[in-house]
Amino acid sequence: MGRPPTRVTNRIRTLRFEHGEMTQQALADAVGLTRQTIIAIEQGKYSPTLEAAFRIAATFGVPLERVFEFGEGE
Amino acid sequence: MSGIIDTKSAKAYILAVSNIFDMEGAMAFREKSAWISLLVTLCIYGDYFFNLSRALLQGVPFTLLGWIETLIGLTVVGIVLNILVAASSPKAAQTPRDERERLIGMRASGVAFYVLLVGVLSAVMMFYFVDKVVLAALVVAAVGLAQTVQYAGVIVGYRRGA
Repeated sequence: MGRPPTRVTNRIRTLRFEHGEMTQQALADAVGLTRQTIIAIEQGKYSPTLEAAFRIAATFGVPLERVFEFGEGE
Repeated sequence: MSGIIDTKSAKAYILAVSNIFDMEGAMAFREKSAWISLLVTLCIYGDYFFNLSRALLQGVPFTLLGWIETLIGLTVVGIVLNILVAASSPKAAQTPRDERERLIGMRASGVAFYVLLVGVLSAVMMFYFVDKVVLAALVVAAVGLAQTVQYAGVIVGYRRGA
């Protein structure tokens, strides 16, 4: 019996919209990641490290749980 | 250059790389670089085994001189193409690898390491059964396959997103 699949979802696209349609490149520059990595995170293809997740949340000025949610998959 | 690396092959190679450049925006700088390295690697080892097979079939001695010329020539081509790609997106080229890119690189290197390990150990086990030319070819094949797996792994990582 393996571990059940897990899934990290995020609200980065919404938060970028709420912050004056911040571009992916601007967010990438602010948190020290590449634009491709921001795209991968937004699309749920890559889960960032805890440090990067905190930096993203700090850039938007919100707590971590407003950006990322952890839920068990089906 | 010798063997399969003739003018026609070189033109086809440059056309293939140009098509990669046309995918600007859809492809990260380091993915382009991995594509260049993969194509160069395939050409280098393809030339080696093409010349080796030809020499073995014709029953003539195999010399490394022609392949070393190809190796140097294609390495220079690879460096020049990487410089061109870096010049087309200087900001991306100067930006250090981020955590996802390091992860992609480490995963690809990890798989390539096991390919190299199995390949070289297999070649060592053949020591008593094959002559030194074939033994050297097995080691070269292991190195070439490991390099190919590494660059292919990087490309797959970028295509999948992580």
